[in-house]
Amino acid sequence: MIARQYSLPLLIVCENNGWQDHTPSRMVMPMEPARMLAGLGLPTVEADGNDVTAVAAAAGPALAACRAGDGPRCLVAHTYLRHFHSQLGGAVPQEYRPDEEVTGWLERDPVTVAAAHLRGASIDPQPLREAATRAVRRALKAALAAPGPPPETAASAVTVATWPVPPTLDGAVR
Amino acid sequence: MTMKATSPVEKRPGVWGVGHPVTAVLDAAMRENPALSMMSTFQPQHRVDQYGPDRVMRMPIAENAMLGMAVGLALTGRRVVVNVVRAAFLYSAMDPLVNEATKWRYSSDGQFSVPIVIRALTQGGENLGAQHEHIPHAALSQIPGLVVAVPATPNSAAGLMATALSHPDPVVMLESPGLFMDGWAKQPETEPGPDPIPFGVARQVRAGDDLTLVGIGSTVATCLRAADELAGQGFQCQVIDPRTAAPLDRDGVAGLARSTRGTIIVDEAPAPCSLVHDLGFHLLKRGAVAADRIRTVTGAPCPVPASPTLQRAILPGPWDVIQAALALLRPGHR
Repeated sequence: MIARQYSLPLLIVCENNGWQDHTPSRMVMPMEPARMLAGLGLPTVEADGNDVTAVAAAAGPALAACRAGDGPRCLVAHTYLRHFHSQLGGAVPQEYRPDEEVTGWLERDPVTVAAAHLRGASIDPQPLREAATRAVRRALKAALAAPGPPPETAASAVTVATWPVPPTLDGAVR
Repeated sequence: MTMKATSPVEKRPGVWGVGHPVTAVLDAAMRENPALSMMSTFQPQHRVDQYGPDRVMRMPIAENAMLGMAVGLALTGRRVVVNVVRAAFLYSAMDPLVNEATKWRYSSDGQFSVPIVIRALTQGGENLGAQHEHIPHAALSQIPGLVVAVPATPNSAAGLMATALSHPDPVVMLESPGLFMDGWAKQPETEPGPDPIPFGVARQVRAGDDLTLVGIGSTVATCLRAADELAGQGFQCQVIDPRTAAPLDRDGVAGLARSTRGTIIVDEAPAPCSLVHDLGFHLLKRGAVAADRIRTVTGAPCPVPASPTLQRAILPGPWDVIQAALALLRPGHR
């Protein structure tokens, strides 16, 4: 409401993955987010959130309207979580999501869909995919091999204000 | 710093906040710093006219959204004073305060800061009932990096505000309604003027060799009244005002308390996990006061009732402080 009142150039993107933690949204929400947002007077468009070209097509006019000073807009991108909300080690609660639902969405993974578009434009996506995979693996390996941060920096960015007793780790055990 | 009357309402000194030194500090800051904005559910028309609706922002009753927006503005380089009016309403905005405003510096390792000042009235004198009267300085002091300023007098509010307006991180100003209510200009003043007051530096607001009375916010005046009464009985009490609950000047208070024969710490807030216990423990640990020479006088762990009679029963008053003092000063006193 405040964003509308001030006509802020704001595009709010809602990634609607159909779930709220362990609970399907339809069990806890009386209406679709797009309908609710439109009811608040926010011009709202919906798009296939797993298709980068569909998102771009929907976002283009919305962003143009924002930039023209027409106030905030919403884009509801229908998508899915490839991995579940809590990715805590091995504790992925796969059992909460029906197998056929997971399988159906994974077949339409955003990277798979984007690759199909590339192939349609006679571009081979494979070299791109391999290069990206290599870059991520390299980054992951480097991150895992890097030394951890020095423990004495744990409380170094709490505040830059001068406190009588600086908020150091010693402060907790004085 | 001079005040200029810009609307008829400002020509009635003594009424709520009119001609108040903290208002003068805010007006001066608005004039001097174009990057300063103010948000509140109420904005005087003359201020909107003077600085424009983009800087003097009229907000809906939506503290959570208001504070979230202030954090966003601060991250883009602005400074924002958010007046949530009552501390009671700050509870609606705890997520942007606790999880955003006070976390951006830390989570970005200093790349971002959120210089916002949140003003909130506390409790006492208005009889607004349990859902509108709160004194949350102890709870807020548990949020790392958050300054919790608790002014005791009009000049103290002005001086702490002046410091808050150049502070690089979030500050909450918990202001007692008594600082602004009709007759505010007549209450005891402990600060020489509205000059900036450093955070985390306690001040001796009255000298005395016999006992140390420590108050915070409105209980500084409670301690001063008790000290007046005790002086009539031949006892000289020093009164200390920590001025900020966080940072809390534990060593400063300890240094001052060492010179007297006992200490009483007085706070409107209930005792569990409180400023009085934090400070009291520190005084004992530093040997500034002996274990049998320290007392606390606090509010009861009870919602603040609307009835003035019931309020007096649960909040500390001068009489409670005097009784605690005489118990220390006159062995056998009852």
